[in-house]
Amino acid sequence: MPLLEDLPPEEYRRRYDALLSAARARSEKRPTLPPPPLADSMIVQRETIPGGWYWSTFVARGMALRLVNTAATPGMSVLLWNADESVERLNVADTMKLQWTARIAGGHVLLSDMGRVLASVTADTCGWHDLLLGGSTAASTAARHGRSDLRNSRDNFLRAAGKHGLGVRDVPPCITFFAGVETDAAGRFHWRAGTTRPGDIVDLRAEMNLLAVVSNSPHPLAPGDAVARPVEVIVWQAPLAAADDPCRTCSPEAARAFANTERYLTDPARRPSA
Amino acid sequence: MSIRLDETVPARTAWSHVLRKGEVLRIIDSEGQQAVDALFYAMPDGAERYSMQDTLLAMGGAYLGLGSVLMSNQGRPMLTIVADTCGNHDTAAGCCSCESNTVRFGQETRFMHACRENFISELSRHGLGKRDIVSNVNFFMNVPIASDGELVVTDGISRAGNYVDLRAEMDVLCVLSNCPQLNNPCNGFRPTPISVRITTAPDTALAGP
Repeated sequence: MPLLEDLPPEEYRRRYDALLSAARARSEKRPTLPPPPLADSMIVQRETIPGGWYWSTFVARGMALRLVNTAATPGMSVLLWNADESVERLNVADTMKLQWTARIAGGHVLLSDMGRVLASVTADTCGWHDLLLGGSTAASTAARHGRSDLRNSRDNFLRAAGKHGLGVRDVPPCITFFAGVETDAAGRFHWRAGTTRPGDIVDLRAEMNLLAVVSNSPHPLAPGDAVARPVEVIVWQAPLAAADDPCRTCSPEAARAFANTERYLTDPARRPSA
Repeated sequence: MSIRLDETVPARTAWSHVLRKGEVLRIIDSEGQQAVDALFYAMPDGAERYSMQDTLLAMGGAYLGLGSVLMSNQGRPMLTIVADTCGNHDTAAGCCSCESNTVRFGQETRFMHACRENFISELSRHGLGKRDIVSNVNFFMNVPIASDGELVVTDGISRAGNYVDLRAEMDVLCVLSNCPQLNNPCNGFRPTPISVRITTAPDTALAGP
């Protein structure tokens, strides 16, 4: 195929502006994605995570990870790795940049650093999730609550990673669901209260085999209680993305990421994932 | 004041150097509108490294400028921006890669040079690798984040000769990629050389335009 190294600047600009215009035209139309009810026969794993704690699980392609914010705790932080090659991991910068928004929500995809879809956000009753500030750390909990003994997501991720043979080099920036963070005209961050309600659900459908860690620790900007309320996480058998799947078709960018993912999964040199 | 290093970084290439605590690294956008991707690792082994999320949380705002402190993944200050003739630098949009380019711009961009390529090569000289690449700083890159969350790489606001001075708060390995991206406006669609200078005291005698 022809390489694109030698176009005049105006042509690169024209192409970029066309992509931007298309993205802006789409941005008004966010899909409504209610979570499907789950029959017991569909459930593979479930766990209740106490406030401050974490849980790790594999989520195979053909399954989805359901985050249930049972009592509207302000934030559940998540990290994802390709279970077959952990060097491929969640990349929050690409997830935002390639979808033209920091407001990742239902209908969007979570991208790895290899231009592939780790998971699709196939259901979302909340719509407010944060990739910019991520999860709590020892420093953030000390600054916010004046205590150095609180559990936090950064340490949770390190411990979870350690139990899978991963280390500090494998803990990248994370995503915190059920956390409303707004940016004002000067770029200052503001916590938006009331963005999550009891029983809020996000479904993350695995588009490849995943290792997932969920940390139940409040978002670093969340006011109020220092300790989070329990949440539930469910791994369930979910249908694979059809050709007209909303996440696959929500943008040309997502469609190309799906194509990259399928090319990887069907590589005959690899062991098949399913 | 003592300049111990002063060199040009050609367009599209990588550069790295260890900055001792108290030294200042000046990055000069020689021709204007040139994004410089940057990662920082605490010596000696780099396990402690620049953290975009720790930094944004500490700053309370999305854009880096004069006075901003670049924080590590252990919540410690790594570098402080002590001079800045441009402002509004990005740390949310990450570096370009061949892989992300195919998603964003099409499969035909897979074999165009990208910052990730530079970072992997340059990091390998220090015993580090792709696992060590996290969200980076993009000096001189203009990425407004709107109140509705829209995040767009737009035309850079830097002029020829604009610079940032980074004072090291610990011994730190600095890794730069002089961004080769052609598909978005971050380099004005024309990658250009930059200059770097390391001094052992604040460079007040050479204040720029």
